[in-house]
Amino acid sequence: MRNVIWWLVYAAAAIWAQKLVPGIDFLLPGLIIALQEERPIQTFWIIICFSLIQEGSGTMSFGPAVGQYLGAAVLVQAGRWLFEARNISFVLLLSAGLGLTHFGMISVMAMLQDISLIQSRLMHESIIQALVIPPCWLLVMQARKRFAPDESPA
Amino acid sequence: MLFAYLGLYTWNLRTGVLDNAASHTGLEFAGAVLKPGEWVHRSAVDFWEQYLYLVDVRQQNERLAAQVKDLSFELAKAREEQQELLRLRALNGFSAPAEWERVGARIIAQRLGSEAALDSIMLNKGYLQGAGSNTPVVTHRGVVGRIMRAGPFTATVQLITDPASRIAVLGSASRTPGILMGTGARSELVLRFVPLNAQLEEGETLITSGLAGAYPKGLPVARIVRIEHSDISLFQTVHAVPLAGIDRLEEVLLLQRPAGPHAAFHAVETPPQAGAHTAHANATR
Repeated sequence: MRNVIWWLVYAAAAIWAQKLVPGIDFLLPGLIIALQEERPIQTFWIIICFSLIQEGSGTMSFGPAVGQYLGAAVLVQAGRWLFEARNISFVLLLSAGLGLTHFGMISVMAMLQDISLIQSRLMHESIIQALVIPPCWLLVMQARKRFAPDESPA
Repeated sequence: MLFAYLGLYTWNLRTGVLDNAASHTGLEFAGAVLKPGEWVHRSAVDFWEQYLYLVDVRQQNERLAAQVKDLSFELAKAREEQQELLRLRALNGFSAPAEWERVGARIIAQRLGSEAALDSIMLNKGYLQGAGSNTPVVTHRGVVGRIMRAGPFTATVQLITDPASRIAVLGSASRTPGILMGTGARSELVLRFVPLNAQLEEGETLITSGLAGAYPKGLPVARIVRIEHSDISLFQTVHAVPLAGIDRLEEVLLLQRPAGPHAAFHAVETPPQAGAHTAHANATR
């Protein structure tokens, strides 16, 4: 129950952060933490719920957020073979990859859905997305250790 | 996994089930999270402005009183002209255009989340409160956009500044028609398909033509700021700025379509938008 409340509070805080910084996904650092905790059921529900939030509040047809989150899951799984998944260096690499994934996913989906995009803005937001993930990940990791110590990784 | 994802994506494009589910869950959750904070913020600002920050109120009152006098005169003149219009309509057998009802709504966010690729705002009203898909969104100054995705109590609006936005407009004085397109936030709008010999002028107001059925006729949209004549094109390029002050919006009005035969016409003629397009396609199939 404490875990569910923690994730609800995190989602609410992330939505407010998204209101303050338009075009940036603040749910992604939480998803990375869920992936690092290696609990498949929790990860499954986090991906479903976060995807619904992003897809619902977004302006494209259903797909980009699910693709982005599945991409994050694949990158974290692939990274486990080569790196220590909870290391900040890995998170820095991962955030760069997720920035690129964001740019690629939105560009492809806009093409498929015949939507005109402002490419320069998308590029800026992808860079900001990559820069925002590591500090947010650190912050959320600390918060999770403090408020949900039983759930967070050792 | 890729096949499953693509299968889900194409199935949703055909049916709109997942878009609908996301509008009823994710959009509503985001709205429920943002609305209480917005209420607190609004209350604090109102308290500050109404009870504490009273500098210049006297001067403002005097200015407004003078403005009321001027407007009263214009109102009397407009009433006379309205009566004349009614008499002329009756003489010529013209029917009056149907009246659109107005519902107020507050803006709770702008371009929320990474998937907000289009220029958009989020409203605190949904389709149960008069903010259904394709509802025109305006202010007293001009057109803002239209609802592209609606949950029961929260909705997302595509702004006229978005590059995917298209509005059929007329010059208010010259009556020259054209298609007004967005080019991005804080950028000018561009009026396309205006013939080289069309008599548009800088400063002229562009109003909705009502031809596409998405907006009622006669709403102010933008003011022309620049006209470019090309040597190689058959059309002039007209640049305009939105009248609604889109960067500073806090409240908007939703225009409710009149009931009756007009509503059916609008439902068929209105072009679909991203997010709403699949459900719309099913509804008209």
